[in-house]
Amino acid sequence: MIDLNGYQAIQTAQFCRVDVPGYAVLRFSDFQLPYIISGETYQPLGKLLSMSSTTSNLRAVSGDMSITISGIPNSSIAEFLDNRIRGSEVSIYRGLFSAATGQALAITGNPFGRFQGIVSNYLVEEQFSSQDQTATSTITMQCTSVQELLSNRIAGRATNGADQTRFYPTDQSMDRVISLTRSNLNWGAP
Amino acid sequence: MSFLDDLIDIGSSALDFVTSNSVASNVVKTAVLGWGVSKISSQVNKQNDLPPQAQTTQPDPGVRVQADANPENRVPVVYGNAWLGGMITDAALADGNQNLWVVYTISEQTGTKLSDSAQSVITIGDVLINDEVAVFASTGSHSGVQISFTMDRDNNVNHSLSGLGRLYFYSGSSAAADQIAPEGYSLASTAAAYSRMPNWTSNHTMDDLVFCVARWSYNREYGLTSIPRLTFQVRNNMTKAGDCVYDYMTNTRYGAGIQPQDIYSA
Repeated sequence: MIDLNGYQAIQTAQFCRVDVPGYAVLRFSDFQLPYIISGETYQPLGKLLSMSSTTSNLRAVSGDMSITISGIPNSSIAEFLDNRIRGSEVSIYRGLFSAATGQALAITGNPFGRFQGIVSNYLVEEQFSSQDQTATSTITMQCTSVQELLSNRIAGRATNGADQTRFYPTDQSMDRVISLTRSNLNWGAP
Repeated sequence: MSFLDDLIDIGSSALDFVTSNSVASNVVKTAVLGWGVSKISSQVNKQNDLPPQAQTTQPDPGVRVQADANPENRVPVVYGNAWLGGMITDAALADGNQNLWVVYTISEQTGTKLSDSAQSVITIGDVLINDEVAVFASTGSHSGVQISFTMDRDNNVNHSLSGLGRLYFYSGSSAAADQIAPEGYSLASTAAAYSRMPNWTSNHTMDDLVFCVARWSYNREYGLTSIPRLTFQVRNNMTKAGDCVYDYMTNTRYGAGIQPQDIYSA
């Protein structure tokens, strides 16, 4: 349990890390300044970033979470859609800062891990401004926690060629299983 | 009236007697039928009395067997000790259809033990063939692979499979270095599974699997005309609970696939 009795006021910020395969690792936060965690700089999005609330539990529980980024120019939407966002690993941390100085509180483990999962789906919404003839978009990423992924995971390999080559691409040992199920062997025939 | 007319009269009255429905007529009909059957039977017996070289022997047509392969079977994971029936994943005939080669996939090869960082080792204990314990040759060129006899639960010895079956076990891959002998036996020589199994090449690697390549020799006299049902006693030296849980949590093939750095294992 974190002891915050010594502080009159604190500020919290959320840091989000999205590892998009084949593209880049996106790091952003709703903090007002760039902030470095484990040698990686998180870009401040401030009010443009919002995340759904989570509940604190003593043990790991499964759950979903949504991350919304607003104010994205239309030119960046294609870049977003062209990459494999779905399935990207997501890590969210919560940092505690002094409201007076903006410095991170000297608490072991700060910032704390809040959520780990993957992007299971995403939504792109467009807001069109008729006055200045511009449009901005909002991207919402639905994230599924690792806990839920594990509970739904089906591991192991079945005795067929497709499963075997999924793990060992050049192995042909089980390529004949399907054909064997329908074939007869004339054992002992002259 | 000539004597010919008399003969015709006798024949005619005999025919009338036989075709009538009287009791005596039926008795005669039965006797004639029995005599006919007896003559046919004696002709057949005469043919069977011919010397062997004069008889036409029918060649053994063999049997039509179907390998019980199922693409939806899942390869099990064993920690400690377990009895498993192998799943047939390949079969092929060789040597003029007389030898049937069958691949029984038994279990997954497990990973490294957390406790001592050593690779887990899987061995084969007893092997049951149609619910009888197999006893292998302990000497000679087929030591540890060729079946000498089987024993039932009451230790009654059954020699019907003697010399007709050979079981080659592999743990980890189809390479010669991964061939193992059942516990209590030693191998006279090793060879890659793909050099034994017909139609296999070096691309048949059976990575991270424990499996058995069996050779069954067709023999109608001793009743080896169907693929025997095998059960294997699988022993994994990964037995500590922590090792097993850690392996299952981290393995990306059959486990949860959790990254080791995400597990506090100190």
